[in-house]
Amino acid sequence: MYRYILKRVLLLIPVLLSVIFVVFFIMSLTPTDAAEVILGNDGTPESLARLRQELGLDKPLLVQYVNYVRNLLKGDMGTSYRSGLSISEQIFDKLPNTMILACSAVLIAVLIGIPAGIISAKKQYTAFDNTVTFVALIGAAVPGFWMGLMGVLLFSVKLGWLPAARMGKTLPLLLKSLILPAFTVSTNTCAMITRQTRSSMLEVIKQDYIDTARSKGVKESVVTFRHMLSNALIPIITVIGLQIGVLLGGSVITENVFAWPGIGKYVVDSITNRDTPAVLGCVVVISVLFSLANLCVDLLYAFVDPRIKSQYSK
Amino acid sequence: MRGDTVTTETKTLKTAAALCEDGSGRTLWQEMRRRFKKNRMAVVALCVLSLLLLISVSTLIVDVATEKAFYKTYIVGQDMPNKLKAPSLESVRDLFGRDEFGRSIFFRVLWGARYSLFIGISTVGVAVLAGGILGALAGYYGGRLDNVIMRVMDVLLAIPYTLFAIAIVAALGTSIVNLLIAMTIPRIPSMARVVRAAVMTVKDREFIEAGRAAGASDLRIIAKYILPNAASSIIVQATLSVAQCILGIAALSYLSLGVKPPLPEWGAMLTSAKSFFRDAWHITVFPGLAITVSVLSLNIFGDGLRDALDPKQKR
Amino acid sequence: MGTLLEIKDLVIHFEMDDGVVHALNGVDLTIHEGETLGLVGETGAGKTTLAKGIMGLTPRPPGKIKSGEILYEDRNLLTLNDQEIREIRGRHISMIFQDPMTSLNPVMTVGDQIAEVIETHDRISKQDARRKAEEMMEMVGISCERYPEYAHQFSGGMKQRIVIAIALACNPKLLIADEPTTALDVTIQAQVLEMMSRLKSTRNTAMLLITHDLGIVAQNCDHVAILYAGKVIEYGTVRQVFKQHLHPYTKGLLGSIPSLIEDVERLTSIEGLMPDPVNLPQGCAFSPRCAHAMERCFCEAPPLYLMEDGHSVRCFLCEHSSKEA
Repeated sequence: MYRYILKRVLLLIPVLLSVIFVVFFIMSLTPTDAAEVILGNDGTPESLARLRQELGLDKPLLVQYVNYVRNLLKGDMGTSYRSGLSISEQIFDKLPNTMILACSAVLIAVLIGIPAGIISAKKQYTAFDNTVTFVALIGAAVPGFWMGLMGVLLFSVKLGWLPAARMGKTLPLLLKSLILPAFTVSTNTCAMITRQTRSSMLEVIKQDYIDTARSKGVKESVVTFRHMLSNALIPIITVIGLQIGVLLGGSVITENVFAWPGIGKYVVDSITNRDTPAVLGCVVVISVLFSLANLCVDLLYAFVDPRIKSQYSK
Repeated sequence: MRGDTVTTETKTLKTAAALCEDGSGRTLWQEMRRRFKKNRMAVVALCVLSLLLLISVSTLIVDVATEKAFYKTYIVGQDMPNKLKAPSLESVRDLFGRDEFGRSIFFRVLWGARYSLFIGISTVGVAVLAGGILGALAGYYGGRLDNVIMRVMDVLLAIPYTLFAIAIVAALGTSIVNLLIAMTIPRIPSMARVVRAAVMTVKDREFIEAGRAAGASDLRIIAKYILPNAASSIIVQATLSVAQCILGIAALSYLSLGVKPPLPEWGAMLTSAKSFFRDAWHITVFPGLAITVSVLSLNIFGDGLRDALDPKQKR
Repeated sequence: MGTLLEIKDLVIHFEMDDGVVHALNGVDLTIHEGETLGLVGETGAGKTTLAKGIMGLTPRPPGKIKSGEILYEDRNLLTLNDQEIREIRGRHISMIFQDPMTSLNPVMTVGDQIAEVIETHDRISKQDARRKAEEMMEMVGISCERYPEYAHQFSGGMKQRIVIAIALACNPKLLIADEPTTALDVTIQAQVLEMMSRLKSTRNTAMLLITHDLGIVAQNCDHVAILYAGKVIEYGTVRQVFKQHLHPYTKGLLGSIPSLIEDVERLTSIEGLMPDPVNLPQGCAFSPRCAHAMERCFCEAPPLYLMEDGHSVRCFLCEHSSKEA
């Protein structure tokens, strides 16, 4: 098992290097000239050329890439064209805020989605089930940022209960300011988890081993959790894994709706400023996080399903 | 010799068709239509989608017929005295109220349908084509080619979809063409995966063997036997992808990275609305509702299609 | 031999979208302490519905128990609440399902699955439950070292042994075995059956053995009930049913199996199919396929006629020879 984990981590390295290369390549397509952005209108042809040379922009793409990765390993993602600040510092300054938002969104989605899906499946075709199914359908279709705007309209503008934007500084204020963005980000994910939980529970409910469990005389709650849910969990975990990407993308947009000071806001601001290395750094960091999250999900399978675990051990 | 091949192939094709027939003697297609019709929600969704398509086409026709006169006056033309006017049933123009420049939100929502629908469909079309070719090659030939293609797809899948699109737009600059590219490329890997899986499940079936034994070329086998049989899962995936795309277009436009105001794209309408929506709720509600209804219909239609095509998976 | 379980006029219907499935239409059946009762019928005759009905596992909806009683030690199982029926399940009556491949939880160790039923009913510590579960594993011929393994690591026959261990772990008075060997290889079938009858006779457990294999019935059972379209159509000792059968359906059923002793030119089969349980014929359910059908068979359902020594038959042909006549 540990050997398998090690193998997976090692296999991740070439994937991450390729991901960085792809992102690096895409960003290099930009027609924007970095030197012009930095020097603005003050640049003379000579000073522009000198700056390009300093930045290493005159070298072939592959050399630039190798240099970038080498610096990245040292924790250096270059300096912002606009502010001249270190990008890695900027990103690690904002990363916790994004993580707070993303993690609370996952938590909300799981805490609402799984119980709703379970009850819905156990009470199939009842009014409750129909309501949950319908709400989940809509939840999967609503654009997250519009949900956020509607939330602001209702809870901030009309009712005045929650702040419309910005992150609270103290813990109670932080929590209060977190509610709307976190629910906004989690809407789609929560809907998907609910739907998957419901359908895989319905699949499991039909299985013979559920009858076996019932015929032992164990309590229905034990049947539901120990026998049904533990078997239904595998596809649910798959969906959660797929949703992490959606969620990270969603938080980019949501952060901009709520002026939440995370990477998502930083990346969009950097795009507006034509600050290429900052955009590159953000995309690289989020992609690395996403790959790590996916690896965790893959490893989680082994703990949920002994059949997969025994495959890994081989 | 050549003639032999053709007749044998026709026979295998017939076998393939026979495989699709169930005991009742109905073909798969008829059976699918029957099952789909039983799903009332999916039929309603199909009607909504047809309506959206009709709106997109007829607004285009109006533009062409009036040489954009209507467009210039009512869609992008400003009417400041009536800005932020609340919705009323008095005139069609005021049905959803007016926006911050006094433009009719109802008209703009109708005119916006084309962006979501056409960009969504063409994006997915290209992604299906590209992903389909890659996935079919990988699934059919297997081995090293499969490995190379799928590893590249894995790398592309390791970048979160929305972020990927944002990075492309950031690099290329904001325009409708770049938006198309940005929406398409990140879609290709998941399409390739779906097609590959579908190809791999049908490729070892007997009628493929028979076709191969009859001497049909690889290309012919892929195009004539495998793809039609893998079509159902591709169609379902494509439908659901269009829904995802519409959300993506709206999101990017909302971030001012896609279609730009004053074009009446739904997401872009929300961007310009957000500074005023405290005073006039209607300017944010209707474009968002339009997105939700389109995506909802596509999702329900896609689900209905899947249930109709694959009765085993039915809830 | 005292009566252990008595089923009276049990009617179970399933209300589906496209009609009502008449699965059981008035079943009367008695199981005595320690005996093995064979329940024989074609696919769709209602065997599994009856078994699940006794266990209180009828899926509701769409299932609906229209009428009847299931008396176990003078208590009607159908009127018990959830908690009371749970105390019966596993402790007094337990069940083995048809397919061992799917009747074990794939994500729980087999040992824990045996221990679970012990923990549920016996007030003992986890360690004791584990020890008892290990004993049960040894008893069904599986090394207790395999306690922490999962179902996918066992073969079909081994899995069925685990299922039997679960079913017998709390010494139930009645074991319902729903085609326990159908899914197994023929050689394993014999082993498993032999083990089951050994265990049941040492523990004095009664068994309801559901099967469509008449050979198994002849070897293992004391009494036999033949089920057709949700009704018992013939009941008696193995000898009575095999040698002195009276119902045309039983006759047809026995005619369709090859015999080693008698020289038969060709095996006979019963013409036609079991009636659709959504549209049962008005009279005797077997009448459309019966060679002896009379006019009255098509409009009137025959009652169960009591013959000599507990032998009973549901056929008008026996009206005059029955004891009541």
